[in-house]
Amino acid sequence: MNMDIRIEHLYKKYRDKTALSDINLTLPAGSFTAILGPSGCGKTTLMRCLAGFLQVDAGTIRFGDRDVTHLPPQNRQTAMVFQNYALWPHMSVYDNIAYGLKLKKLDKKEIEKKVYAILEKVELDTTDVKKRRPTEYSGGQQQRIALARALVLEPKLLLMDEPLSNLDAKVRQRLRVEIRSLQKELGITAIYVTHDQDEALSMADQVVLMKDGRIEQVGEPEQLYYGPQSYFVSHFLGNSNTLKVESKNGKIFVGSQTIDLPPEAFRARRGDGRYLLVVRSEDAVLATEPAGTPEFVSLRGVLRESLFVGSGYRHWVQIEGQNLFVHSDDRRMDKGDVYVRMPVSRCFVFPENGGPEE
Amino acid sequence: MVLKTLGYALALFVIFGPLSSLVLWSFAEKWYWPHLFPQQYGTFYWKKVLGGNMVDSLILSFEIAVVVTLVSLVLTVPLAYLLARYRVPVKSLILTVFLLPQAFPQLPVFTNTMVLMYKYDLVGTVPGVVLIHLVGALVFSVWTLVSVFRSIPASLEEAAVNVGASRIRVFWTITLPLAIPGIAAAALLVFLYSLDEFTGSLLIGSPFVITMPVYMYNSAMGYEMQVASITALLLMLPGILLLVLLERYLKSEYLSSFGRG
Repeated sequence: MNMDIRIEHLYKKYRDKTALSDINLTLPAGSFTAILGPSGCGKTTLMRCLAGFLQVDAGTIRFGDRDVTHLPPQNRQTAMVFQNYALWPHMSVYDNIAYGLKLKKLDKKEIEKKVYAILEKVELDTTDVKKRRPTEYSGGQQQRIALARALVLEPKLLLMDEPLSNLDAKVRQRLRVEIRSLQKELGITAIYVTHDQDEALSMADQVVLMKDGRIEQVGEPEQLYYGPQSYFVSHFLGNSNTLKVESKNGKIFVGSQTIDLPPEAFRARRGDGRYLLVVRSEDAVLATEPAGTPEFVSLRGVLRESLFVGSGYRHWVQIEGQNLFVHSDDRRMDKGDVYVRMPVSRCFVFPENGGPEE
Repeated sequence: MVLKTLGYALALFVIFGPLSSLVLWSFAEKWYWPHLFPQQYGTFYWKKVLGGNMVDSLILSFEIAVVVTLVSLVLTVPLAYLLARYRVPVKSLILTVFLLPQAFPQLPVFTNTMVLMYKYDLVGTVPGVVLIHLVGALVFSVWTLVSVFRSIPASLEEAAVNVGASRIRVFWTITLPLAIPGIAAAALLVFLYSLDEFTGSLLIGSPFVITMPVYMYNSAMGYEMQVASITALLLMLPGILLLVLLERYLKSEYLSSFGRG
């Protein structure tokens, strides 16, 4: 049976503000989709529409062959994990997890079996879960409880709304891996809303990048990272640098310098005019002379400062009055004149309409 | 340090100074000018009061307060929940309407109510007094309870809806249990308000329904200072007791949007 989740032409407005605009998305059964975007891009709205907490203005949502667009949230068989855990403080951990099962009128023995099984799955200590309240647990443990509460019902769709953003970096790293492997093991279709690109890129089968209520690009993490289709996507992902360049008579000018980029670097039709060149900090390389191979383009600049960032150094280079940051593992360069070599395959050029986001 | 101690002493004097004369009066059997303290102490008036019709007033006051509290809760718990959770079209108007009787001087408001109540034969009856108490009680109740419900994150309810609970079940199993401390606090406030309410009780209730504050007023007017003092002390007891309870259970955020201090 086809259990893909399909979202077609979804629209949602809050008063006059458009929150979602023509959202089309398919979540293959058993896949993990991350919805990524800056705050206010509509990612949480989309998730709430899927859960049924919000009514959509137009469009359809299908779980398999079933049209759930107008079903109340109770009947959708989705399970949500909230940023603030949303555990019920007046109930024991056991009762929190058993709440949904009790509504299904399962018998006591079966409920107990299921609750303990799921607690084991999320690796939560089962001693005293019938007595202890959720607030007696740490943040990471509370999110495990919330996950257990969601998973115990074997939902058709697991919805996670920035579930890890209230946790410390260490716990976050660990839970990321655990959530991902749990999702694979149980074969649940999952949606994960986040503003943390590391989280999105590392966990998901499919990343959806949103902006202003629209989907900017959908694809596998590598596709998005290495093949951005818009300036926004290239700029949003990774430590990106933007250089303003100009195309004139078949040549590309960065201030007074010219570089030679093949047509593939251009994400839109090339002509005369202003363009934005995006290159990531880790792709650019500092050198004392130009590259001299067609795989790289080189620009002359001045190294202003080198900052230690733990995993390496971040070099601040000025090229024709524009700023560029280059990441390197060591600090061999002296301040002063340098060349920045940029691999042609990692240079993305977009026409400048609207310009950089900041 | 010294200043602080002096400050505390002053505060204690300001609070308990006037009250101490109540205690003195309640035990004074003979106290004439120009003596600084009573010439003769005794428990004559305590016995008189506790054996007399004051006890009836005391019981009546408690009964009225209980009824007022229950009625306010039944009316305002659902209302406050709706106001806190849903986008009610004229929300601020509704809240303002509840404040209006408090915005005007009580006496004209109550006098006008009295005229209305004469029409329905409610003056001098217990239901009449309950109604006049409700005017103020509903204000306390609605404003407190709206804050109580607002302090419960909506995600707790959504999580329950999400796993299949109906709205009504969510209210009974999630929202209400979490709101209980706040509702108890609102109930205490209303109870104390009703117990101490004087103006309305006097206008609507007398001469047939004599609540404690009215009884105290009558005694003081009749120059029975001892009886008035004892009544006052008895009226203070539940207040102090309940306020201690209130302090323990009331979260400060419940009071944050609560206009009357």
